[in-house]
Amino acid sequence: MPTSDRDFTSAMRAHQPRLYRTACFLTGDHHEGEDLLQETLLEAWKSWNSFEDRSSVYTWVYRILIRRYHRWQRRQILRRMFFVSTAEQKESQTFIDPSELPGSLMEHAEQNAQLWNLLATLRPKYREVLVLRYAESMRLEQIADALQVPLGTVKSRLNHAHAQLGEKLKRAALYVTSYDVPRGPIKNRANRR
Amino acid sequence: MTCHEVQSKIAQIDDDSPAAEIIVHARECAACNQSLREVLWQQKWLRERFAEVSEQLLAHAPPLWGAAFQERLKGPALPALLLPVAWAAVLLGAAALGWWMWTSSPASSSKSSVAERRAPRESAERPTANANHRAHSKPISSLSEFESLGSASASSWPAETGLVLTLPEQSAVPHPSPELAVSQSLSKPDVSQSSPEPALAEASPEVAVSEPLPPAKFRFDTGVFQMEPTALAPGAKGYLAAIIPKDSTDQTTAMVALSLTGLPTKSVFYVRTKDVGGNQVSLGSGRSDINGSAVAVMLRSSPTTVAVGAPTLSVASTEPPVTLNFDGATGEDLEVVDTAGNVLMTVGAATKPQVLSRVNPSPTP
Repeated sequence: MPTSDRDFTSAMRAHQPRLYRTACFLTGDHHEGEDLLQETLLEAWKSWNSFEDRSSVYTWVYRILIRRYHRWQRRQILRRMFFVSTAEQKESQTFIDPSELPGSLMEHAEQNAQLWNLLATLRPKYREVLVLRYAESMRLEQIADALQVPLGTVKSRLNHAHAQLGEKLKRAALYVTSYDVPRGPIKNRANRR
Repeated sequence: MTCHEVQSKIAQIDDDSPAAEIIVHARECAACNQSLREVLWQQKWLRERFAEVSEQLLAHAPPLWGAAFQERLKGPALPALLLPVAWAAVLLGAAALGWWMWTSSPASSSKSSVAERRAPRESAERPTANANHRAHSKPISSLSEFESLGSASASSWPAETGLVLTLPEQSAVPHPSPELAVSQSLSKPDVSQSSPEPALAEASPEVAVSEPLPPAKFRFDTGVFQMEPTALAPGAKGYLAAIIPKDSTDQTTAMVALSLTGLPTKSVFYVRTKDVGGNQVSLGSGRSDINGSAVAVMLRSSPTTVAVGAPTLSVASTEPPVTLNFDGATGEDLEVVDTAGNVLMTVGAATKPQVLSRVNPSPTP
């Protein structure tokens, strides 16, 4: 059982960039992402002594991140209800400016910005499965472990997220209809033959 | 495999390698082919976009242990066990400060002063039995309204039992006719029977003559007198109008009216004077309006007999005695005081512009 501060530092150092990336995707803002990361690391540090090896550090700290994210969401709801005007709400839902992206990514800058906007319009439970699936490339079982929900729930949320995202992409006319179905090695083809 | 089954499986595709039967079916079915293309394109698009944005985010990732995080890692300045003690100390300090402020304020310096202030205030809000009796016995609209404004019966002023009429506006001063006042006073004989003061004044008028009285600055007489403000109400102005019957043959209603301005707004005041024994007696009370103005009218009716040196009036033998506001009151040192007993206005001897010529005494019957 890793209990020393040195173990904690080394473990978090390995996961911190990805945690930061996930936090930014979830919150849709650099600064909010940093705050969420700090809260996550702080809670992880406080409960580091109680960490058991029943799951990996990676899954454990992502579970903390998701929990802190849910708490952040509740704060956001209260803040918007009482303190933020409608105009500020719309402004806060605007994600990263495409002009902030590096030059190598400028060709897709508009589409990347579109991704942020689409994520912002999704419900949080759909947003988090999409982020964990595509940004973190987690398997469905890992997502279920991190979200602490059944595997079927993850699949259901992922389907709903895909469906909603597909509708929004159609409205945004971003679909490329000439996309070809891959003709390469097809799963189960060898087994059937 | 039907299109419905293929569509459900297409929706569950999680990677770029769909099952063989789906691809085979999609090559034969245009709708399923379109759905498969859309799903695969969407997943590819998502992976590319997430990958590109992730690169940008990772390039701008903050250092792991920033200064802010290091500060937060240190935790609170006090250990967790000391936090309740610290909060208890803060609360105790606040309570002690509040208690010190409460005890050091002049309003709470002594309980007696509080009681003294509270007593006239409570009595001013509580209608007396006489006022209720009058309200039931004489349903005249104008007078009923005035009575409903309340009369005072402070415990420190035992002689205060009379009718006090207060008006919020000087312009709305009603002048009740003597007939009304007479009928009002005659309608309550039971009240006067319980009061020994008129009988005392009637039985021994010479007592007032034999006892040496202190030099009076002002005594009740028919006329109009100017009220002088004190330092507590420097802007106060007003006049006192008095109609005092001269002898027993005069059936005029005795009246003392005060018209005041510049008083504290919406505050209760009392009119007090001294009786023949030199004791303070209250003629009545009133309440100033929102402008600090007030009109107080104190009435007395029935045939009167003027005692020497004092308007201590007694009733005729043919009529039941009545309790009067200013029975026994001489008018000496007539003052307007507030609820705390502070003198707001006085009638001084030097400022007694008695205007007898302007007063039109009531005709005798």
